Amino acid sequence: MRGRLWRLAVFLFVVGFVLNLAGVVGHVLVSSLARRWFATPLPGALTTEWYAYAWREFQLDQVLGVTLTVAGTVTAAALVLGFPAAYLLARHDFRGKGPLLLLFFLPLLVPQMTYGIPLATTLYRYRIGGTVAGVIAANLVPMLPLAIFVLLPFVEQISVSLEWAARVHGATRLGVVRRVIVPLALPGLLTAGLLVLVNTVANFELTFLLSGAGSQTLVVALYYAVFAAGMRPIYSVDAMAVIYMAVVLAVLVLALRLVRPTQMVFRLDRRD
Amino acid sequence: MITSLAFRLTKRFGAKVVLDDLALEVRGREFVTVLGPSGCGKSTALNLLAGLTQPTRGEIRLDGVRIDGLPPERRGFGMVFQNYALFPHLTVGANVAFGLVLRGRGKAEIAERVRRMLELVRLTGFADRYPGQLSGGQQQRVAIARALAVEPRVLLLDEPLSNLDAKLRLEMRGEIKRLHADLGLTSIYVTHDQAEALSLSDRIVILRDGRVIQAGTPAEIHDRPQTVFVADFMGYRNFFPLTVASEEGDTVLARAGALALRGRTVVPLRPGDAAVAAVRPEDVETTTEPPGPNVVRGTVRLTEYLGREHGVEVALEGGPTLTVRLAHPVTVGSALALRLPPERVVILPAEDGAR
Ligand SMILES: Nc1ncnc2c1ncn2[C@@H]1O[C@H](COP(=O)(O)OP(=O)(O)OP(=O)(O)O)[C@@H](O)[C@H]1O
Ligand SMILES: [Mg+2]
Repeated sequence: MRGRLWRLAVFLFVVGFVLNLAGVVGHVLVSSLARRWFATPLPGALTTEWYAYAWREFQLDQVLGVTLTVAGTVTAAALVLGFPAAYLLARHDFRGKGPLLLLFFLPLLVPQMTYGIPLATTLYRYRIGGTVAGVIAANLVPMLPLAIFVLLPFVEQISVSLEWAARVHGATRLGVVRRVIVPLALPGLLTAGLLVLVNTVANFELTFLLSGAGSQTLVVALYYAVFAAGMRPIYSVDAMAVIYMAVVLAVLVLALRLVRPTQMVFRLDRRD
Repeated sequence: MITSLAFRLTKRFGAKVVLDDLALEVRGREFVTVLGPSGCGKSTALNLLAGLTQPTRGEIRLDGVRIDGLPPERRGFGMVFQNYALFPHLTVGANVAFGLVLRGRGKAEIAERVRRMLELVRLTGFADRYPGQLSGGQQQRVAIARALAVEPRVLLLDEPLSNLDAKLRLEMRGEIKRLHADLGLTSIYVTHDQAEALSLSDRIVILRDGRVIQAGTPAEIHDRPQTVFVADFMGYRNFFPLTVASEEGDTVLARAGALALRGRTVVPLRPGDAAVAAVRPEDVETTTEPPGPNVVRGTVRLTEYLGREHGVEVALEGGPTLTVRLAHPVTVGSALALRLPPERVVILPAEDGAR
């Protein structure tokens, strides 16, 4: 009895969630395709011209370029810097490691606005604020810890004796990294990369605080499109929102092609 | 082919001394076993030799040349790890080829050598499998093949058989012995299994708390243990604390209450010394002799069928228990007269503390 009620509650929640999501997304999608849409259940005529309008008016080619540059650079940097850090943290025990880790992961826990503003002030002082480099630097503040956080358990589960076996049989330190640690941590690298990528594309607060003209990502551009001075047709803003959702979806799908977390776990057993 | 590996090593972890000036010289083609209980520092010793950890003090010389400054990859050793430590992301073939690839050997040479190594460990046809798809014994053999492939100057083996079942362990023991002889290897083998040590070694080194307690050929260690600790390790199940009564040459008579035992000594003892008599269960025999030195009477308390023989626990008159192996079954509660042959009884100096 209890179990059935529980299952019913979960079912209703899921249905509610999906309906809600479908409603919001559906509305935006329909609106972006509407010539005009007032007081009727569905628009009278459909058009794709708002997409062309948004593309032109909001300089989406440039915005898209910035978004992908920022996301790609942040992901690459988070992995390149995070992997050695995760390795050292996984392999070495020292006093104060726990508190240090906590301090380190603070940017993941506290709201980004709290440190975003002082961070932005500092970066503007060094004239990095408002540039693509500034956006990248700011995004790295929470994304580097995130990458390390995700990589840490993946590195920890690589037995030290594998490194030792490699050393004894002829691998230098670098050789061990290249031939043993990186291949075995690959699932972790892909997972961390995916999370950083998606989070960076979706990041609003930090990018908003740090970006100037010419260094806006899609989310921030979307925000400005809605609230900036000068009325824009709501249909064009919706078109832009659809483009944003499509980009996020594309990134996610593309990334999931490369990383399937559940598959990674059994990757080694599957091949026969 | 090396002529000697000599080392003298001390290792401390913090305040804990794990190896206390462990010194040994291994000759070329020798098979040396380091035998000792868990935690006595066996793995630490191998790791130091391989260069995986640094000694607190000491040196390692290979053919007279110091190698303790070299990183592991430049020592030219091979090592078989207790948990195999096969690379899970590489095929069996790639695991075996690992050291050869790093040595920059040609493709054809590597392929040929991998084939030969797999043949040697009887895993022909397994080259394309992954370690996860092999049984424990097969993984073990891959680990051996990987270590042998690099033609190691010294082969280090860290309890390589400890994770295998009894039957496979016996099989692999023979395999290791065969490979050592066929390939002219110099091997240092770590174990806590006395049977393995006895069957494989040219020389056994017994380690306790990071110190060498006794070293010698298997026969020496087996027949002439110098301490109760070694005797215990070598299968002397029965220990009787006694006092030396008289000595003549290398035999002594020792007694405690009604129990009087004549036996061999390895370490000289004088009358009045506290001693321990040690005897193996299988060396005790039933007798019809009248009571006297080395003849004891008792009551059967427990019997255990062991297949070819019977394990029997006998409560002796006067208290102590004697564990023996008998060819014929006996019933619990029956009286037995037993003889402990003097040439089979070893009288050792009593140690402070228990054995
Ligand atoms: N990194 C380390 N830090 C501190 N103590 C250590 C370290 N490695 C080993 N020890 C200690 O050194 C001692 C010897 O360890 P070692 O692994 O050499 O034992 P072992 O003889 O190989 O035992 P086993 O038969 O269980 O493998 C143990 O008491 C162990 O706790
Ligand atoms: Mg060990």
